Parts: sequence; C-alpha cells; structure tokens
Amino acid sequence: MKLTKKIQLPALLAAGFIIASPASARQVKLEVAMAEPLILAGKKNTTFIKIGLTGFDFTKDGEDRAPVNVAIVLDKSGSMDGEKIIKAREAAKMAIRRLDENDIVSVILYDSTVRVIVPATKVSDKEAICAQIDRIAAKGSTALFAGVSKGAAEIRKFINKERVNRVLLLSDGQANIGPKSPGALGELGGSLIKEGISVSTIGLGSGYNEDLMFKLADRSDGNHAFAENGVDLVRIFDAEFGEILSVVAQEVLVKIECADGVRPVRVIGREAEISGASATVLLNQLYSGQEKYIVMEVEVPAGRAKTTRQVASVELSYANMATNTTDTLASTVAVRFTDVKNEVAENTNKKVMASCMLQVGTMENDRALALRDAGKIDEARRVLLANGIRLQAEGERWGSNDLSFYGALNTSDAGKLDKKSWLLNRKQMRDTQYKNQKQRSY
Amino acid sequence: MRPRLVIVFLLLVLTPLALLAWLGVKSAKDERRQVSERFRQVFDGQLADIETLIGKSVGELERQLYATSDIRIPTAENIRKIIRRERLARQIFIVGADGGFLHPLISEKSTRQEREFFERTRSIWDSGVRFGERGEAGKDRSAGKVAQYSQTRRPTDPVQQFNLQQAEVQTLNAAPISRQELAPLSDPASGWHSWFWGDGLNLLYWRQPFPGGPVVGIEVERMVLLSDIVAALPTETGIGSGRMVLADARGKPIYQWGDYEQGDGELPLAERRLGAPLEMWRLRYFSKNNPGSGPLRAGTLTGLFGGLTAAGAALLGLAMYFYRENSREMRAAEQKVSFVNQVSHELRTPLTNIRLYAELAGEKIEQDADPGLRKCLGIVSAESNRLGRLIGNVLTFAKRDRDTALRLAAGDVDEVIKSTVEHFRPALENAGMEVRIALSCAGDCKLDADALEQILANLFSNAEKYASSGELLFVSSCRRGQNTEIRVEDRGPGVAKAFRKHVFEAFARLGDELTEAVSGTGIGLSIARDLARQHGGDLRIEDSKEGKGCCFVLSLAAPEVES
Repeated sequence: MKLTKKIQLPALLAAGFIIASPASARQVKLEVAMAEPLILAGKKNTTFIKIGLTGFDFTKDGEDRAPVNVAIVLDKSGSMDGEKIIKAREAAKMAIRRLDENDIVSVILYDSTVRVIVPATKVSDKEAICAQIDRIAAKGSTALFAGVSKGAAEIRKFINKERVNRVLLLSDGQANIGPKSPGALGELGGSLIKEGISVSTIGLGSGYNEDLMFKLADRSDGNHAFAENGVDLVRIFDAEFGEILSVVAQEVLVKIECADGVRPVRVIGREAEISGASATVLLNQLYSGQEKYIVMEVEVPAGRAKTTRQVASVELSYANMATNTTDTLASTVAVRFTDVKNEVAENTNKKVMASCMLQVGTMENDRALALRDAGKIDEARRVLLANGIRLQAEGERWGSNDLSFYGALNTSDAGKLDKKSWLLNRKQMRDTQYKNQKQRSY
Repeated sequence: MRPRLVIVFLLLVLTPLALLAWLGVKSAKDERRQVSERFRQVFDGQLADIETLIGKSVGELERQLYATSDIRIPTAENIRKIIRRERLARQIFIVGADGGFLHPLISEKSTRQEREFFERTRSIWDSGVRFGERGEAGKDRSAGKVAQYSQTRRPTDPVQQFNLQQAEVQTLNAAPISRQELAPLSDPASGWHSWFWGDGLNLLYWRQPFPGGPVVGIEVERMVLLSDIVAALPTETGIGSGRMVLADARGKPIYQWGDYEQGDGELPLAERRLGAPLEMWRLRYFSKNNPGSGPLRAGTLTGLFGGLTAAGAALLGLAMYFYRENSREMRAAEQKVSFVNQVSHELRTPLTNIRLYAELAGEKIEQDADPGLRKCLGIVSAESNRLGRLIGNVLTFAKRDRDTALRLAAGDVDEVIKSTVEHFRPALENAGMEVRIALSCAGDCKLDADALEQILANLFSNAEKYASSGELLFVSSCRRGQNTEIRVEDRGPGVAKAFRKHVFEAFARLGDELTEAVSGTGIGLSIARDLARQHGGDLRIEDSKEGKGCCFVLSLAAPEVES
C-alpha cells in the first residue's frame, strides 16, 4: 500500500485536534491523529492514535540520495542449487549495477561456513564484483547466524551515520549452524538496530524459516519478504534496493508521552518500550515519499461533553540524510467529548481508522497463525473467517480498499490451513503481516 | 607334494611374512603416533591462537561494558536510554549496598523488558549470589539473600520510592568512575557471572565502583556477544584442509570455518576449553588428514604391502629351491632303488645257485677237513646270504606301495629268532660282538616267518654295521597278550632322540661320523618298520636300559595257535 498521496496538512488541522510542526521540503512530515477525534462523554474510551511519518522527496535525478553501505548475505547451501542460485546471482548483480562509487558493498556467502567473497569496498569496479558473484556455486548447510554476523562486521568497517547501513539476507533453508531460533535472531536484530544497521530478509521458496526471517527483519526494522521463486526474487531484490537507495532519515526515535490520566494500552505492529505513560518506538529509517506509521491504543478517562482533553504529545528525532543534521519535531493530539453518539462515527478520521483497523486485523491474522501452529485448525479457520468479514465491513465503512482486500485475503487464508498448501501460505501470511505492520512499499 | 610338505612350506613362507607385516604395521603406527603428536602440538597452538582472538574480543566487550556501567545519572529514564543506545546491554540493573534492587523496580512504570529481566534472572537471585563487597547496610542484614526482589522491599508509596532512589543515586555518584583510572580486565571490583536460561549460556557483567557501594550490573545481550565473537573469528583455517569449530556447552557448533566437513560424532583432533567467562564453550579442530586415528594411510599401506610381497616372493623362491633340491635327491635315490630292483631280479637266480652249490660244496668237503678251504666256503656262503638279504630288501621296498599281503602261517617266534641269530652269529662275532639271547615265546603262533626274519636281519645287520664298538648284542622276546615283543639291544653309540623318528624314513641315513664309514642303501629300517606295521605291530627305538646304545623294540600281533 504505497501512500503516494499526501494528506494535506491544513485539511487535517481543519478536521481538528492535530498540531503538526511546519514541514519543509527537506523535513520529515509528522502527523499525529486520533482515529476518533470526537468521543462519547461520560465513559472511559479506548481508542487509537496514529503517528504518521512521511519521508520527504529527494531530487528526482538521484544525485542527492544518501550513500549506502550494503552487505549482501547469500545462502549458497545445497538447497539453493539450480534455478535459485542462478536467479540469486542475477539479482545480486542487478542490485550492484544500481550502486555508484559513493556506495559501499560487500558480498558474503554462507553454507556450513561463511566466506566473504567481496569485503566491504567502494563500488568502483562493478564488473569485478559481479565476476565474483558469478563464481558462486551451491552446497553445504546453513550457518545463517554467522552469515549475518559477518555481514554486519563488513558493514562496521565503514559504518557511518550518513550512510544507509543495511544487511540484505537471502535464505531458502533452515538455519542449522549456530543460533537458530526466531527469538535469538530477533535479539541479534534488536542489537543491530542500535548500531543503525537494518537487516532485510528475503525468504526464497518453501524451505526457509519465516518466523526467524520475520523476527530478524522486524527487530532491526529492515524489510521481510517472501519470494516464491527465482523470478519473484529478482523483483523483490530490485524493490528492496530501490528502498535502500531512497532512505531520507535514519535513527528515527518517536517518543509518545500520554497526558495525565490517559493510559497507553499497547503499540500495535511495532516493537515499543512502554514505561508508565510513555512509549518509545525506534525506526531505523524513513524512505522518500513513503509513510511509516505507529498505531497506539490508548485508554482515555471519562470526560464531560463539549470539553477537550489532551491525549498525548509526540516527539520525533531523526538523522536527516539530506542535511546531515539531527532534526526534531513535536506534536500533540487531543480529543473532544460529545453526548451525541452519531457524531462519533461521523467525525471519525477514516484514513486513520483504516490504518488502525489494518493493524488490528493483522494482529488477528497472527493470532490465527499461532492457533494453526498449535494444531487448532478449526479455531484458526474461525478466527480468519471472522477477521475477513470484519475487515471487509470496516473497509466498506472507512472507504479503504486496502482493508477490504486484506479482508478477502484473510477469507482466502482460511481455506489454506490444510497440510498441502499450509507451508507456502504460512510464508505468504507472514509476508503480508510484515507488509502491513511495517508499511513495506513493495 | 605331500600335505605335510605343503604345510611346512606355508609355514616357512607365512611365518616370516606375518612377522614382517606385524613389525611393519607397528613401526608405521609408531611413526604415525609421533607425527600425530607433532600435529597435535601444532593444532593446540592454533587453538590457543584462536582463543587469544576470542579473549581479545571479550576484552573489547568488557571495555565497552565498563564504559556502559559508568552511569552518571542513574535514573530509570536515563538507564532506559542507555539500553536503547548500547547494543551490548540487554538490561542494566543496580543493586544497593544492602542487597536490594535500585533498578529496575517492579511498578506500574516498569517496562515489559524490565519484567522479563526478572523472569530470566530469577535463578541468580534465588541462588543468593552476591556481586562485589557488601556495604554497611548489607552487613546489618545477616540473614537471607543479598539481592532481593524489588517487590519485597519496594515501598508502597511511590514518592518514598523515588526519594530512596535519589538517595542511592547520590551514593553511586559519590564514586567517580574514570575510564582511564582502572584497566577493566584487572579491576577486582568487577566480574562476570554466567547462568543458563532459555536455550543457552547467558552472561552478566557487574562492577562495584567503590567498596561496599552499589553494584551496577549489565545483562549482556547474548546474541551480540556471539555475533561479535563470530565477526572476530577467521573464515578460513591457516593450516591445510581442516575445520575449526566453536562449540557451545552442549557441543553444538556456534561457528565453524575451514573447508572440511566433519561427520556426526567424529572426534576432534584437538580440543580446547575457553577461559572465563566462556568456560562452557570449547574450540575443536577436525581434519581429514587425521594422523592419529583411523586406518593407515594408503601410501603407508602400499609400501608395506609391496615390501611384504617382495619378501614373500623371496621366501617362496628359497623354499622352492630347497624343495627341488630335496626332491632331486629323492628321485635319485628312487632311481637307484629301481635300478637295483631290476638288477636284483636278475641277480636272484644266480645267487640262489651260488648259495645252493656253496652249501653242497660245504657238505662235501666236510670229511676232507681242510680248514682253510672250509673257511673260504663259509665266507662264500655268508656273503651270498648277505647279498640275498640285500636283494630281498630291495625287492620288498619296491613292492611296498603295492601293499603285498602277509603270508601268515603257524610258526615259532623263538625259532625264527634263533635261526636268524645263528645266521648272523659268524658275521657278528667276526665284528667282535658277543650275542646273547633270552627267549620266552616258544610255541606256535600265526606269523609270517619271512617277514620277521627280514626285520630281524635288518636290525642285526644294522647292529653289525653301526654298533660293533659296543661288543654286545642282546636279543630277547616275550609275550604281551596277543602281542609278541622282541627287543634288540646293543651298546653302541645309540641314536640321538631328535633323530629317532628319522631313522625309519627311507634313505635317511644319519649324516654324522656314525654312518660315514659304512655303506648301506638307507632303506633297511624303513622296510623293517613297514613290515612290522603290516604285521599289526610297530618298530620303535627306546633308550637302552644300560644307559648306552640303543634298543629296537619290535612288537607283532602274533596270536597263538592252539595245537
């Protein structure tokens, strides 16, 4: 769901209760909005806040883009043999040809051991690098953890806040040497983001561990995607490189401070640290012209009708890749109470509500997946069907095609819980969950 | 070739071969053990180098942790900020002088991460481990655990809690921490603590800025530690084709490098336990050029096999040579016999005539009694008898394989002995031997008198030839059940025990001074024993009772005949 259309700031202000700092051309846009700016008076309400962050456009010719520091970590274990390794080589070469001499690239291969075939180097001789990639042949088992570790080590050689630091991991198999649990790889991802390194994970075929790949990307705020075959892989590799080449902000720290009496319930879809009334969310980067958002569920205490209540203040700080400065932005959001029930629905911010509902729906989809994992197929099916119906209804209500489409997808997922198609569909489900939660552009 | 000969030849060839093979393998193994020992030293050196590398990596982490533990303003907010920034810190905790937690505290304000921290570390606090020296406040609390759950001492009033925290913060700040002041590795007021949680080893670094003061602890982000160590380790081994493995407490590889794929359950050539705080982990080295175990290398085996083949061929050649020599002699002897056999047939008729006419002549000149003439005739008669025996022997030997049947008839053993002795008496006495007989087998029994006579003749003839120096021949007979036993004893030089078996073999004339001066065909005893065996008995040599000479014991199955 590419959000190319930018929401007009004045319009949002007119909708009320939104105060955003003025956005310049080279400034990230921060939009904080209530899903329901008007809520019923006289009772405790649970509602959603959406914090939208939109990267600015850099000049179209691309000269302005931030230099990147990418480690391409390729699985060359035995299972990659054949078409997969050919396409992986093709994808990697295509990606390297998009870079220029300000960029740094390294290529790491892993099977049961790890080899750095291209140590971190400036991309000045693309053909020499591509020649190295052409020599890759598949065999052995899968030392995924070591592959990522070595990839990160190559990144560290030239790590720089002014560069986009990214490990691009391709795997088609189960990690079997070194740490291999989704939790462990998630921890690794969680620590890499502290250094400003994101890991994007691409799972190829039906053999990889999607939970591991999901967690690693999720905790490091990279991307995760599922490539069903070699052709898909080339497309995704290309899209991922497009993203990497369009980073406009890094170290994006969002602090949400709830006003007195307002309780943060949870942040949906993203890793957050909640302490008392404040929540902190770290994003590693924002991409040009793309909106990333955070959805937080809050509990607002009862208020009298026709009064206004502050709900939260949001502080944003990020490293601006265009100006190489650390910029900060702040905004607050409030609600107004009403006695009239109809007014609540009438005043609902449809776009915001749609985003929030997508997160809730994604969470339900994840719950169904967990149920299926536990062997409760019937229960999983019920959850998916209910989720599908609700999402489609919400989609109609808030005028969101994305919601309706995801609703239909859930209904279709409900029919793919049997053994035959589950393996592949589970990967597809994780892929879509990731896309929704992290607003992946492709 | 006779089966016994085959066995002898096989032994002759195989025994030295087996010995050579054993020695070869043993020396190869010894050499391999030495080589393996040298390799092990090299591998150990390599592992030690790798350990140093890991040590450096851990040292670097420790320096980072030391810096991280330098918390100027230890408010909860600030600590959380540090955790957000520091990739090594999964959680930071501060334990006060009295052993109670100052951070994190379980309250409405604590984060999910902080709650989970207590879940993970519960076993540490339950075990009563304490970090650093105990402060004054701590000493007052004589009983119980040092580090307690915050719930147990958390004041209910948030304001009070805040104040307490502030007060402790003052103490913490009172100890100035300077990065240059202490080298982290030698700082006695800091240390590591490891514990198991989840699926592996977890580490905790703690530091007490001043004695008796609060302790700052950092729960190390285990994956960062691992990832940094992996990043610091090489991707290829420097020593040939091998595989280095960093294995965890369960022996599972964490990271490995080198282009050799070790098999499941394969034993490493060298192993090294890491030093603290990673003492649960070990380094292992595997290689296909495993010089210390497994089968011998193909090269060694080929060499050994080649050597053995050559030695085997040489031995076989030698054995064949001896066999050919031996069989040539046998053939020559057999040809001799066959020739003599043919000649003997031709000789028998004229010899019989000679004996007949010599005897007739003897009877005729009895009256004339010219002693010289009579002596001459006696010699003619005796020598023709002797020749007759020799011819008889040769013919018997030649017939031997055709298994001629005995001609059994009633006869008296003693009579046969007596007559044979009488035949030989002149010759024996002529050789200076006294003949004594002691016979006790009178009476008819079933026997082949010719065969017995031939046996005895051979024995007496031998005695005459070889034992005349003993000056005595003693012949005795007795009955043992159905068997008749005849002993022929002399006082000659005797037959050494080792040769006793061989004297019965054809053409086996003992090659010593005893037989050198005497002529013979070498078939006499062989024939004698064959005949004895045909007669249901045997012929053997025993020691003479007098301690000198030899004693041939002839036993025959000669049942008595009832008259």
